[in-house]
Amino acid sequence: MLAMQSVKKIYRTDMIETHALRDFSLQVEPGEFVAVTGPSGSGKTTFLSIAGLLESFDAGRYTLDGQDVSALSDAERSRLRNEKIGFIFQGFNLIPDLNLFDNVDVPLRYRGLAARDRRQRIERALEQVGLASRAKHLPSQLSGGQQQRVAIARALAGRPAFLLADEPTGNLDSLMARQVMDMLGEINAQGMTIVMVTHDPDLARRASRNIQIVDGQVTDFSLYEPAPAVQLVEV
Amino acid sequence: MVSYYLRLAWLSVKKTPVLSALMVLAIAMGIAACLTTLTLYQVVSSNPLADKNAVTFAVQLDSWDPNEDYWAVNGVPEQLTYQDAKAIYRTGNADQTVLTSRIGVTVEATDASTPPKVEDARLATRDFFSVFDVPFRYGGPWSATADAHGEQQVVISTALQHHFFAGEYPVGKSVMVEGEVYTIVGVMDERWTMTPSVYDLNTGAFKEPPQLFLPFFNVERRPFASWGNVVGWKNEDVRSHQDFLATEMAWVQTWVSLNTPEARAEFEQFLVNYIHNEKQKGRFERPLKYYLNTPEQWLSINGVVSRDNRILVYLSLAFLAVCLVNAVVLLLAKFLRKAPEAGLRRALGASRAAVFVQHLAEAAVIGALGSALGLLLSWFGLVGVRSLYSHYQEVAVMSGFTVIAALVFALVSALVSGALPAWQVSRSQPARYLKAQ
Repeated sequence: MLAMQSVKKIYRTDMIETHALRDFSLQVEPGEFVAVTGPSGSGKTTFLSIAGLLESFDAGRYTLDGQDVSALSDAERSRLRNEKIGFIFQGFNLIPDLNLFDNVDVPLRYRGLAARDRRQRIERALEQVGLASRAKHLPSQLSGGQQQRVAIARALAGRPAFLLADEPTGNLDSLMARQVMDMLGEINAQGMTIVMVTHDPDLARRASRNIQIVDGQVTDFSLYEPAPAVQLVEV
Repeated sequence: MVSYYLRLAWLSVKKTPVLSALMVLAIAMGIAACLTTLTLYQVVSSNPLADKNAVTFAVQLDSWDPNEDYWAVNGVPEQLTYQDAKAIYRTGNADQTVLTSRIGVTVEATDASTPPKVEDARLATRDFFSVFDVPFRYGGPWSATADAHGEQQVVISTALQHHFFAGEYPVGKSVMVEGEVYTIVGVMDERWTMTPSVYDLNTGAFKEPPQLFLPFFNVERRPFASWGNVVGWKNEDVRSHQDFLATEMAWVQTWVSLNTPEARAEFEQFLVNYIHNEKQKGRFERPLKYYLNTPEQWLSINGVVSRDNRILVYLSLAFLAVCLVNAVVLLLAKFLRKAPEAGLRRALGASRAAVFVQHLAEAAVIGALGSALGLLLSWFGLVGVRSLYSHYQEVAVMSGFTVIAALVFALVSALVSGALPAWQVSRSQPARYLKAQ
């Protein structure tokens, strides 16, 4: 599904050269739920950006769903990102001027799907996260947890190959966080591959596999014991 | 996707109404200033006889004072003396010959049923109507015989037809002109408004068309009050109208049609021979000089498009550039504020090109709003010009060209001004904004 071999990423300024990822290698198999942890500045976000094709890398090889992404053009990377990857961000990243329906519609628009197909996918995704009845609401009319569920619906609507989640519960209280994690667990149980960056060991335990990044390198693949499966709670 | 981008653009415009209004205003002001001046420039610089430019000529003969140059245009009088104009008409070999002069006349109904009117009129030979494309509502020009003998026939305007005949068919009926009975042979269509009035630039290039035409050679019978220019240099003893016709006074505007190069060569030879003959009679004391000016040349040497007009166009273009720079800065500020959203869209699969086009669409929406407002401001601008300069009454009007030009101009301007900000925002790195949102 996702295979990185000896990936290197260096940020350069006039004075400083920062090795964000060094000889970074990771393989994620289909259906896995991988939690990536590590201290601040360890390279978690850089890994996520590269994995999500949001940033290029300086050396190494990255294969996404069997396709080497190293030499792709911007348009090709955008298309691949659109079709293969679903993003869930810490800050939800919904567009405040668009209602929930239109927010979920955003990635589908860039795929060039027919209006009818898009509508079906959006309605199904919103149903999946329990917000179908609020499709015409604006994000500002929702709680944080609900906004994150919209973000999950947006990620799911495109039927991606895997989800990349960056601190998905970082802005939520514990109850909301648990609900979102339950939802991710259920999505994973349905076969979706998930790679989640977090600094919270409790959340990491709920993944099927844990890796820790320190100084831009994978240092441990099984730091935390996996947590028992949890039933999805209706909100 | 176009409708999607336009909807996003409209949402964005509504979200920042003040900033959007400033951008629309900046574009509208620039476009209004530009369109107002360009409208005037386009009309004053247009050649209404462009299709006949190669075959129609204003004739100038240098019969002026041997001791002093003529003071205006190209140093040769714009008009001919009556005797020279008549010679060109009677013995010249042009395909068509127009002799014409502006006069003022009193017109009244033959039965005195309608109040008399003082009207702007022209003495003209019948070729005037075909050379200057005068359309007829009823009837037509007088006959060649009536033309040659200066018969009392008249072509009137639609306005006069309505005034004296309540819109009824007037051909064959009569009106009194300067106390004499003239038979109406034609009614001009009111659509005829030659702008600039290339046939007579002496008293302004932008004036209402004449209300009636009389056969030119009526002037042999009796004098008419000239409403044009009569210029002379010689101290002559004028005791009668016939004396006046024989003077060196220049007051007849003369045009010829020469449909082939051969016809032109033959006509020029005629002029050379004529001037030589006149020299032997003691006239044309200056070196032989004549001009055959195309309508375009005629407009140019008469300064219809003044230097001020051109400078005004340059200034308005400079003003538009300043307005567009302002719009670019405002758009840049607005788009950069939206960079996080652009970053998010990139993360969700939008290519740089898609983000670029989306923001360009927003610039286009602002441009469209700017054009609508610019059009309105242009209209006010032209109303202002009309109220300030009465001689621009016929010129300062919004045309279909103006409207289309405004739309295209505004759209292109907005796209040009939006291209840089849109490009900037499309180059933003999505990863930078996603964590920060």
